[in-house]
Amino acid sequence: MNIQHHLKGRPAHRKSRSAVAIAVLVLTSACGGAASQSTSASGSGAEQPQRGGDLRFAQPVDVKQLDPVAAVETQTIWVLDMMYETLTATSRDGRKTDPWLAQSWDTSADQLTWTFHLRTGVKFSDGSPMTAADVKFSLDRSRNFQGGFSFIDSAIASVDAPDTNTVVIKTKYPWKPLLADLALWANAVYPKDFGGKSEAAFFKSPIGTGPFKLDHWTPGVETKMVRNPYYWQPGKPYLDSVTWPFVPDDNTRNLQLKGGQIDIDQFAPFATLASLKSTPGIKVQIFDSNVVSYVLINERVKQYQDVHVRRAIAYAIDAETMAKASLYGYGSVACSFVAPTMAYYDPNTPCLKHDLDKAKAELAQSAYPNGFNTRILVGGTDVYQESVGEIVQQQLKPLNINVTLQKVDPGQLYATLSKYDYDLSYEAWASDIPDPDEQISFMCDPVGGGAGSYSTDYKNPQVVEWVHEAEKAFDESKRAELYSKIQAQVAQDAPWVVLHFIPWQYAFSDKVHGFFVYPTANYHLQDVWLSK
Amino acid sequence: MDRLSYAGVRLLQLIPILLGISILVFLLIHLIPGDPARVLLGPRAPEAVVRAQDAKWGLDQPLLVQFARFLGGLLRGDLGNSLTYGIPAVPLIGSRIEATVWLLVSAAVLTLVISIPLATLAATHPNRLPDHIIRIVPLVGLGMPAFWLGIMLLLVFALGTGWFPVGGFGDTPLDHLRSIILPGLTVAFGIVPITIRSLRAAILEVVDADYVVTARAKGLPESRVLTAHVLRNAIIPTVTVLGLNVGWLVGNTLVVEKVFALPGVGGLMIDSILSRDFPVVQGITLVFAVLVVLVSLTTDVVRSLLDPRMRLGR
Amino acid sequence: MSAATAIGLAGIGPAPRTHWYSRTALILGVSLLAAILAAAWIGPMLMGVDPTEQHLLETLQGPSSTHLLGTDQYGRDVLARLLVAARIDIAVGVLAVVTPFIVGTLLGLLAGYFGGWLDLLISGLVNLVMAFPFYVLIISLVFVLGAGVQGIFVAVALIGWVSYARIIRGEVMAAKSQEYVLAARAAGYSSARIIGRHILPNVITQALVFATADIVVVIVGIVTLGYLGLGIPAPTPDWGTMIFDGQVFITTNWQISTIPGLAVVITGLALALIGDGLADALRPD
Repeated sequence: MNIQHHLKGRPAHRKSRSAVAIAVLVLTSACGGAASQSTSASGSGAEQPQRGGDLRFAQPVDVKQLDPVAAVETQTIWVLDMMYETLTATSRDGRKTDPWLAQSWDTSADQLTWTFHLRTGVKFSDGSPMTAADVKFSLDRSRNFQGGFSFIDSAIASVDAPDTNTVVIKTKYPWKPLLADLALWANAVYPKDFGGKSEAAFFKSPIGTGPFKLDHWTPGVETKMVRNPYYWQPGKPYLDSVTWPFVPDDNTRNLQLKGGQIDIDQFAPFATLASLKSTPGIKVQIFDSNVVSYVLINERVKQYQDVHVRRAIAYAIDAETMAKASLYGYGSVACSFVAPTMAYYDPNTPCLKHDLDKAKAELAQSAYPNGFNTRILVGGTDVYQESVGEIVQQQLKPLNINVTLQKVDPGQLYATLSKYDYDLSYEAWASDIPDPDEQISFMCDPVGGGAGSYSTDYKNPQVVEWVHEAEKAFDESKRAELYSKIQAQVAQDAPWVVLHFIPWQYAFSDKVHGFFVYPTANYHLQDVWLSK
Repeated sequence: MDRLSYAGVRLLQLIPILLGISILVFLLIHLIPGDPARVLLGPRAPEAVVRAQDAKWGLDQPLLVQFARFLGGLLRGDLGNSLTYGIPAVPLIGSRIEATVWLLVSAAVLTLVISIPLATLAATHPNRLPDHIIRIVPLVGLGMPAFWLGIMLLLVFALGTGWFPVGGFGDTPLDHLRSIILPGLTVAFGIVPITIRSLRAAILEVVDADYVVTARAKGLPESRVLTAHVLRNAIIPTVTVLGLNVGWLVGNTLVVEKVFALPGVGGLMIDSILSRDFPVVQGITLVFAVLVVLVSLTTDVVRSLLDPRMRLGR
Repeated sequence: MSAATAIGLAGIGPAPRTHWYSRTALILGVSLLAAILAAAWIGPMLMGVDPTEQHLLETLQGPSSTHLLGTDQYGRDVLARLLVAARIDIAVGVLAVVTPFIVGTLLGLLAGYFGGWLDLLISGLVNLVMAFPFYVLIISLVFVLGAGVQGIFVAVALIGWVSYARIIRGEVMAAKSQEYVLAARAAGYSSARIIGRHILPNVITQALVFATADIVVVIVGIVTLGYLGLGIPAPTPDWGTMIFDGQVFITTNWQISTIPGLAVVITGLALALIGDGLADALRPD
């Protein structure tokens, strides 16, 4: 299931690693006791981590380049996350930001100045110390980059390094999501002035502060990293090396896992999980994600400007039954368009549950009571997407809405969407930061979010106003209230049909321990160890 | 015409062929909608930035200009940079050729290894049971999609018995050998029906020929007659068949490489088309074309070596 | 596919007493094909089942009395889909071959009969097209023209004529020196007449034999396109997309991919038997 082609969102990983959590880990690994962590990771808890081994982690999409600032593709980002690090990090439950390279921070009274105190003793993989000057260099480069996710830093006015361990960031306006933004991979830290090399030379053999350093990158084949001996977390990483082979065929990965050629099979199709689980030596684990799938409705198409038509479609689509045939019992039916793992998710959102009678009633109130012809856009090679497309085709038939599949290959998908050249479209959202602002402004604020409300042209002025208010508010309860109102109103307006919450599914050898995937989809391989 | 000048003429013919193909591929790939800059920069990049990247790559120039630059680069041996990976296309493609060549050679060898004994068996017992079976059963291979066969082979012989690795290419030449057998077999299955057929027919034709009768009259043992005379002459049309089918063979590598996760040129081709990586697509197409023409040439030369009666050229 | 396939399939030279084989092969092939065609066109009507109707709560079931071959991942009847898919796959296979057949035969006739610069031109074109990777063309065309059969029609038309041209050209060149042609020329008949009424009927048989194999190749081509996700769009059933859809289940419900795969193989076998039998029967003794 190549949902990763369509993951969008701001890469603000709130890698929350509080100092307490780290201390616990250190203590437990030293004492050899079972580390009972807040959210479960793989492997039995009663074993002690062992050093050594090469982890073979097969992925269906290849690593495309080595510059974190330019990286936009998910697999590339997750792999680079093992080589580079950021000031803050997403927490394990995906809702908070934790200190990472920055140990602590203070905010000024006017909330415009943030002072970050860097962790001491952090070194790059060549042994040189990381300083505030490196941070300033990296953040300035990210801010000024044309393309990628540089927009995430648009609230930053200036970055300064008054001394070796302090970084001062001034924002243009009060901006609560800053901590989340800094966790984004594009804000990774690398040596000032590329350590004296040219940019091109640096990225041929880049270095960072991450648990692993690059051994070789063979495009289209594999990427390999080896242990960073200078890594700041004591005792870690346990592994000697990690190899990411590029294996695009789902069945080949499946067979390779069963045959012991690889240790981790990324995104094994849901349909195969039951059989994998029952294979000796193999485990399947479902990790909470923040992914939500939708059927987007293009409001530039005449009939979709009528809320009754949209609501009719929302009532007609039966996400529950669809889930049986496309998710095989994994994931769950979504109600709010925000994932449960996001902050300010409202479980009480009043959504439109499947009801064919209500669907017909809504359609009768519109100008198209006898149905119409329409298309649904799906990406060409993704099994889950196709299943959504085909099932929607069938589920809208009772309304006399005739749906044709508009299949395009991934290379054309973005272009087709951004040109509004579609009627209905399958899409999914995965947040890169724990703050819901990224998703909500992208999907509800056509101008401010910069994407025309995920290319649906949905504009409800009241909702837009709430979005702006929530961005600027620092009061938790105020933000919660606003985001609840937004979720409820969107459910009533039906600018899209919310389908499912889709978890991150992995199958791996039972020799792999400590493997955990964050809701933001990235993983921390420094915690992973292999048993013999 | 002697062999050397024949080869020379054929190699010269390579030039207009390559030129023709370059033009065709260039036009074709630029016809496909989709913007490589957009693919690279992601959905959130502003239009202005995407257009700037296109300009950097020279993609905003008129087609004729772009083609001229491409040709110029080609003459210098430079195919430009891969738009997806940002590294030069020539070494990228070059690093992948090895696996594809292994696959093609393995397929050719396996084809011969399977066809020759079976065809001989059929031809020496014409119209009896072994003959019928050997003629009909391989026909099944004609209609068998390569990718499906590949998966089945992986399931049974790699996973099931553990004799072969489950896809991949390995690191050492020995690993390569083990990894290439199942994929080679997959490709061979598609051609074997044809080679068995033509080899059988050729043997039948030759077996009654004058020089064979003479050899028998001289008292040579049957096996000697078979290998020295019959097979040698029967191989010619088989080699012809293989050589002329190389275009199809090469096309099949695309799918087989994907199934077996072989780091070859075919797999790279699919990904490059999907991401609109023009320089790489053009480069690989040219590589294929050269391969096809060279193999064609080689089979013709080999034919002439095996058949003293054949004259090269027209 | 290339002319080599034709040579390979047609065989070279005489063989002793092949009538028994050619008759058996032809009978077997024709009967099999007839059975397939009957099943495809009449079967679904008799079954009365809609191949596109989904039953999302009855997915991936094995064979039963209501669903003879079980259901697929959306609960659709596999047998119904298989038969309806046969229609489109076979139809596309046959139709796609028509254009290359006509164009190739024509060009082959011209090149073989007139020789000279016409032959040079056409043969040069043949070499060029032969070296062009088929899958690059077909994938690009699918992107340009959209998913569906039009891509395959155009691609096969652009590349497939080559084999026919080569076969016919060879045959015509051999025929040129035959007595009946020499006589016709001596009689002063126009080239058009000689080609059309004397040569063509004698050489066309080889092309026909090749065409039977070509249809199989096109069907396999459509199926492979489906594997790459570029096949005929849903909900129209098509063997290729059935195999593609079933891939995910190869390790669990392998029959979903295997059954359509077998359908392709059996259809290919029927056509190959016909081609084989024809080739055998037509070979001079």
